[in-house]
Amino acid sequence: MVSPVTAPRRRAVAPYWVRGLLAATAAAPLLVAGLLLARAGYLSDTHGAFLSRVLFALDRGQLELLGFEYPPLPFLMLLPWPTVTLAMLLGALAIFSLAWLVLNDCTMRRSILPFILLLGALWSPIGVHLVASDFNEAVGLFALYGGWRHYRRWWETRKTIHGLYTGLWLGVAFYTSPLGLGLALIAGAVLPLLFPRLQIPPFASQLVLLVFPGLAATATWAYLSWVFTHRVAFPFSPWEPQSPGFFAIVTWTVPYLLVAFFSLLKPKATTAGVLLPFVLLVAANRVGWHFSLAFAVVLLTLVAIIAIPVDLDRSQRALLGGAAILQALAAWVLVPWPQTTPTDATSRAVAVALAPAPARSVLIDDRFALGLLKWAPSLSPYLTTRDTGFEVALAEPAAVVQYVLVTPDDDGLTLDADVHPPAGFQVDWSWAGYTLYRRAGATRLPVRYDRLLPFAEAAQ
Amino acid sequence: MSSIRLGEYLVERELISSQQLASALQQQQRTGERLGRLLLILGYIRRLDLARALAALWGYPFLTVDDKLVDAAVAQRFPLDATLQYRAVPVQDDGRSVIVVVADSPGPALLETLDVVYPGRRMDFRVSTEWDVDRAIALAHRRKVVDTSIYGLYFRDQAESAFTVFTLPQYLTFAVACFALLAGFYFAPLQTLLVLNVPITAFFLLVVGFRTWVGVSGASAETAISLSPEDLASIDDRALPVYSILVPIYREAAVIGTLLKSLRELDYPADKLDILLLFEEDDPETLAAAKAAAPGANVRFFVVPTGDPQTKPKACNVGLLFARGEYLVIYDAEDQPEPDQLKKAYLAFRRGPEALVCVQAALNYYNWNENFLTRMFTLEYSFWFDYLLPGLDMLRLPIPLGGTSNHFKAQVLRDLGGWDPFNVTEDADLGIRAAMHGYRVGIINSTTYEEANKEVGNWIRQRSRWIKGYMQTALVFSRDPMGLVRRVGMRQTLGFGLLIGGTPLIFLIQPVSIVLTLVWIVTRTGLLDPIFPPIVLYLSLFNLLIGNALAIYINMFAVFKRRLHVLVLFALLNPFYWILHSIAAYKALGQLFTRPYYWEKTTHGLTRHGTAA
Repeated sequence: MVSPVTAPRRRAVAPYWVRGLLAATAAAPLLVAGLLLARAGYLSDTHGAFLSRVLFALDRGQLELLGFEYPPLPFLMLLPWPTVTLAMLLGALAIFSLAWLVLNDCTMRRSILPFILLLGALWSPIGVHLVASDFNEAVGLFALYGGWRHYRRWWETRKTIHGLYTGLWLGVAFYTSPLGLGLALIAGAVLPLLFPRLQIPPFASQLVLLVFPGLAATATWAYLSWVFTHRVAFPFSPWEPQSPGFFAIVTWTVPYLLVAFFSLLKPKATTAGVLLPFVLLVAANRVGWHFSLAFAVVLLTLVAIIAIPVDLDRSQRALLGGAAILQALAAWVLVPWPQTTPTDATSRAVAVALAPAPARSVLIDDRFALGLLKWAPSLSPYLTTRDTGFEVALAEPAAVVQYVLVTPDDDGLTLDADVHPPAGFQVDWSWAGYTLYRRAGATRLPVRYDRLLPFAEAAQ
Repeated sequence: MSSIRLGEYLVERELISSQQLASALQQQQRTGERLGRLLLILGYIRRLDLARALAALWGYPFLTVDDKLVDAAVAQRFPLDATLQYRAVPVQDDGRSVIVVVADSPGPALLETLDVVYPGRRMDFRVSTEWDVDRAIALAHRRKVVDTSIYGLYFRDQAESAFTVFTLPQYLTFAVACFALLAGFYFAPLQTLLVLNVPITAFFLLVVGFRTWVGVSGASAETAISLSPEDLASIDDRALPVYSILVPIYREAAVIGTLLKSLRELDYPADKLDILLLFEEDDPETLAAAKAAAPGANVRFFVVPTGDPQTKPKACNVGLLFARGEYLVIYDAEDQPEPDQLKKAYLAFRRGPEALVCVQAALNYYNWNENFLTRMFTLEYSFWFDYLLPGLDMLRLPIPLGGTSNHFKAQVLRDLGGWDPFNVTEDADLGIRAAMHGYRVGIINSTTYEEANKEVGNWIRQRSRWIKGYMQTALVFSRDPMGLVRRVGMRQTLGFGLLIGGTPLIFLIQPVSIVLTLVWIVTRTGLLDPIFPPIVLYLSLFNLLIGNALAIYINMFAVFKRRLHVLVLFALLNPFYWILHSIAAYKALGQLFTRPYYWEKTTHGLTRHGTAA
């Protein structure tokens, strides 16, 4: 007989409005900072890549043109309103939700320390990244933390519902980061430590339950990419050019290191759960699963929040809180804010200039035009490698398109237009590394110099 | 008459010993039951001796009932309801006096009623055993019993009976839809397929969402307060009411022994159990096996008169007529309920709202590890009874009752019209009907273990009956969709539609979807593109990939909760198991038109595995 018999646990909960206010306090500064950065002309490559892909799929009316690149969730979340504002709002919402969960923990533990640790990680140029530069990582952190909280309650209460939620949260997290699967594996691997008398069948079944959503998500995405692109997408994030190194992570996660240290002073089974995520981050870096410094810092801070030993004395708590505040202050001094670059300004100017072009009239090799396309308000004018007519246009451009655009990064291998105009085309303009060829007889694009010039001046 | 007087009388006549009397009186202190019944249950006295003793003490002659004694014309003047209420059968009338057979001392209310029906006669009471009185009722009211058990619900409210399979508007709708489809395929086949595909895809999506929502809600239900051993220990046995147990049995002589053992193991005062074994007239072997097993004095045998349809609900309706309990439960012959189930149900009724008319216990299988089919069946039942039904309960949606282990407030069940004998999933139908009438069905955390089908043919027979019953239920309650919405609300109507109507539909559509998917994957043909425009394609892929993964995952947890760890990976094989459902669904669809009331008998006693214990 395994029928449920336990009465629900009573929990101390702060009023909703208090939690809401505090959670909003955690997220709002990041959103304001992100919006101010956007107003100053900043658009991260990551957000730009998400937006240009979504705009492309929407313009062509085929979702599969997202290309089934990984991770998929940010693309899907931006579909309703593909703008950088939505990306930042989603990032702020994820931070708000994350803070809400942490505040729940605070009310259960009757301590504000977890929230202070979280603010220490968020309220700095590092944390701004999660809203201004990569909202996907914020969503991933929220899902991972949701999964962890349920995981902890699973082994505390043995109620299967928490196991179910753990798997589902980690499954969602996998749609933002492959670390979702890695953490599910860790959660499964440490089960024998949490349940010392665990026999093999229950251990195996729990491991399956933890990793199944991640594996199912992998299989789903692989299948879809195979169906639509004839290749199986490898689950790594191409959007973060490089991950922070070991020392960078260590430098900016002092509260985590302190909690790990306190845990090691009185090692228990759960200590492994504190240390393994750090190992996972280092290993992920090695296998090409990229992540930002902000992701690593907040992830390890969340691990620290979950693992704060209950028997810390007042001075140890003060030390942890103080470390979090000092770390934030140090970040303000040492970590640079995201900045717009001259290349961004010229690319934006060109993208705005080409926006009025007729649909599919500009031939472009989008693989070398990420910097330009991220600024494009619409992908309608461009005929890209993902369009079915690209090969034909490449062979005989004059028969298909009115314009050919060569970008600064294009080595000309595809378009072969960096040295001489395609047959039937002439140079319309050449500026800041961009060259626009116009087909003979095609109308000149009504370039709005009044809109172009401010960007161009900024680029000088 | 006091217990002491009866006890002394029996001791004086040496029908029981003084020690036995002391023991029975001691038990009476605990349960509050009448002494005569206690002595019977304890096996201290024979039923016949007790009846003779009571007759002597009450001052009436004793009588044995036989076929010649009962004059049906005389008996039938006394209404069946009154006969059952007073357990009194007028059997002879010579114009001056009426012989009335009773098992209880006749009170003034009975006399008053008899005077109304047989004015001017003297009442000549004769005492007999309870069994003989029931036999007299069955002999006298055979036709009425049969009619009530078959047409009771139909005469009460035709709209709620499955006797009419399709109403005229339903026939017309069906005919128009078929005609439109044929015309569509002739004139514009691709467009017709597209028009079909869009709602089907949307419907699949709805069902996926609904089942996930309900399943996760059901999984959360374990955090809700349930009935604990401490709650059960707090029950005062004297406060417990009489509990009737109906067990319809047909051609199941092999499991009689196990059944009686399971019933004996129930943790409920034996003297407050009223067990009715319901046999069919054309099955003397099972009746003989039951008699040979010599069950306790709280077990009554009833032979259900022959008459079409010969279904389990008909037998249950007969049992309902004769049941004495305030509460009532149905068990199948092979059932092994957990011993605490009746007390849990009693507590649930006591603590639940007034509108709570029924509580359903979980069902699961003791031979879960016998073969592939029993494993898959266990996976399915674990999800259904541990997640889905508790989820429906949590969300206040209509609950289709499971085949057995549903506990009722007996009088409310009678008011609802009992079971529909024309519906082959009378249990699911009753759950929905209860919701229609504003009653609630709840779930209790107790399990009855059954024998899972281990043979494919047997499984398909059983499943086709269930799916056919769902189709019947869906047809009955969709006769007046707006009326249904008015009575139970939009949310409940949608829940009912997605579960009862959706289940057969999904299984009917599923093979087509599988074939189309396979053709698409293998041939990469573009022929299907027109019927899968982008949005339909994405939703179909979502249903295929995410929908199936979610269903499998929640199912994994359902067996994990049952600690059937070996079955967790078997959940991955669910898609193959669902193909069997589709086969059964098509068989059910055929039978809905050809043999709507036909009860596909499931053979039990095939397992080589032991019992739940």
